[in-house]
Amino acid sequence: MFGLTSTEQSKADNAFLDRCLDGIAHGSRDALARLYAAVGGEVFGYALSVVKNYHEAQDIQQEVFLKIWRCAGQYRVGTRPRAWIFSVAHSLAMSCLRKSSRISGEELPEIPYEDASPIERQTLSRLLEQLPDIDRQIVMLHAMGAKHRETATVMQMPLSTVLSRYSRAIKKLKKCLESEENA
Amino acid sequence: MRNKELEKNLRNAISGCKPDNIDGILRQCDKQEGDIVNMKNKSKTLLRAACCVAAALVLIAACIFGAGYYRSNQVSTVIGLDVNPSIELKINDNGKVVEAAALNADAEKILDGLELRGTDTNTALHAVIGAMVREGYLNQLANSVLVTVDGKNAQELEKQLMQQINELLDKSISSGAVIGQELIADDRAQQLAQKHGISVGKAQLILQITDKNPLLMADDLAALSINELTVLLSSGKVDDSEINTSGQVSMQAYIGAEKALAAALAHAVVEPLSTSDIEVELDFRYGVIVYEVEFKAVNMEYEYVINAVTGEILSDKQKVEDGDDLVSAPAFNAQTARDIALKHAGLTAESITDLDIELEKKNGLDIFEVEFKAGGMEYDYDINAQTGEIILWHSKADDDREQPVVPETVSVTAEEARAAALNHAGLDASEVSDYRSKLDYDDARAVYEIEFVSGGYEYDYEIDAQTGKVASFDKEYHEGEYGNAAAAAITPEEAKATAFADAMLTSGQISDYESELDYQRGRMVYEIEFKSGGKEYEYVIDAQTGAVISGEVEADD
Repeated sequence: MFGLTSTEQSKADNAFLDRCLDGIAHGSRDALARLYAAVGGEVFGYALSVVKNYHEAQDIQQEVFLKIWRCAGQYRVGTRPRAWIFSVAHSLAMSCLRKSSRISGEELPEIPYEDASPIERQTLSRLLEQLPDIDRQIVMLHAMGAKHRETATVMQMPLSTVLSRYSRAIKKLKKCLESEENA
Repeated sequence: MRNKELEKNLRNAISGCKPDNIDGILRQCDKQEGDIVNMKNKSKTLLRAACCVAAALVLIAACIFGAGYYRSNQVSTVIGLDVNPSIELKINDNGKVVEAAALNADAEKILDGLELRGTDTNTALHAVIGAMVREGYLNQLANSVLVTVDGKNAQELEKQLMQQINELLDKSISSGAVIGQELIADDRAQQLAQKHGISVGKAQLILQITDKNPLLMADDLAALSINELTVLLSSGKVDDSEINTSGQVSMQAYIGAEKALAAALAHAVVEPLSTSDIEVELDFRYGVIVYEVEFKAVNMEYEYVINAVTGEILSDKQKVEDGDDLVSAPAFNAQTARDIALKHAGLTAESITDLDIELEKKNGLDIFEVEFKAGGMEYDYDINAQTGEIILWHSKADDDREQPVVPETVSVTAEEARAAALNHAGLDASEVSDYRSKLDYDDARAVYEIEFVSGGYEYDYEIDAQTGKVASFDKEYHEGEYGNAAAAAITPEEAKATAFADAMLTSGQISDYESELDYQRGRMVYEIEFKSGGKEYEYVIDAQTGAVISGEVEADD
């Protein structure tokens, strides 16, 4: 689902996600597999930005798809499917975060990359290390294909707040990466 | 480094480390369909650490003590109990109550004097249900409970809780009805809950009901008790096949179908023996649970709406028998129909009374008939249930003189809305592409939804259709520009040939050909559109393999 934000693509993409969710609501395992292939990475990426722990994010991703399997019937076809999926992820990730916050200071497990360039790994690391919770999630949601408006829905914030925090956060992240590059 | 480059790096990093666990998930789905067991052991990491560092026994003991303390306060599951009192029990991993929260004033009364913290879930459940029976919230007239579970093993816990509550109600008030559900953090439910000060669980149930029956309105149902919602679910007016219910809802508070029919026949002065096609159904109208009584007698059709508790006749209609007209599923629900009418009348939901909405076939059209009163006037709207268009409306003053009025249109034209959006964006019409405009209703307000692309940005506007002002605005990178023809393995001409071959057309047969290189789900594709023989074709062709990913054809309108 990466690289998808043009209007037409968003519509086609939403229609595809709608079909998947409708299929899942009717018990289609194939639809669940298709949905996972389409947005599994996005859900994982967002979960990682919330909990900052690879293994927990992996667990959350699994929980999200199991919850979707059980509750897809509650999604209303034709509304914003990605916002709904991210909302499910948000709820589960925040629940996990409440636990994680009590054991802060614990060293986070390394991310087992199979394929990513050094700069790509560095960008993700700096996002996780340098940005405050909310800003990290806003930037990651946008990178994972959510529109700012969808982010506002998922995180229950005014759109203007999302826009300003995104702008500030991405500047900070760039600055951090550029200063390391120059050093 | 540009924003989009940075985001691309993030996407690639995630893509390079994301887990592929669909097989594991599907196996869990199978388990959930059968007997549900603990889904997984989350303490794998701790276990591994314990095995590897056997020497550090003291440290481990400290960790275990610490973890034990942590678990005692850590909320793993939230159980919502709604009757009219709405209570949340926050439970830790050991099944002990960490906190019992009252979500409304009735719930405060229930929790007053109950010390639930530290008790196990079962004991807390007994105490709360017992208090609700003692305080009269649960009795033989109203015996329904909604239980909403959020957290680990929600489905299994939901089953257990439903069974336990049913047993408790059977013992204390002879019978009970329980609705069980797993909480979804749905935006609509959150908004509804916030708007009416109800629990998110109750809001979620209400939305499930209104999604199934477009004539019911979420705002109205928010005022109902769980027992009334359960009655509605059992009325047959709502498809409850996807709602998990158990037990038997009490109907003792209602007069019963026989008495409702007798009241209607007495009012119509019709002998029971001369009637046919009698139907008595429970429904929700005029803000209360009602019996809808319909029957035919002497070439006339009668329809009564009777308050199910008091027996009061709320409306009566008679018309010459004209056979049944089937109505299709409407494109929107009754609340939207109400909002369209209110918007047109310049009124708010709070300022009206005696609202009644019916879905009917009139002159071959599916119509929402919306009636209400406000400021000494009676309003009657016919709204096309497929398009939302106001076909006709009447306002009837107190002097009973009808004043038909031509439906008015929105005051801002699509062109004016476009000019407002472009002006705000500081762009000329020649500078934008992919322009889309649609007149829509957003929270009862008519708006033009406008989208276009310019200078690598995607613009998204809402223009108020009454004032012409910009209601909302969003601007994002248009990432379609990632597409780079040089990186594609097949040429645009090859993609074009593939699409034509699939459509079994030659280039001489087509017009309005458009092709764009873009990304979909991580792969580079050609999006191709063209027209031929009165039809519009849309193809997506994989730019690396040349495979047809999707092809659609529809009538060119």
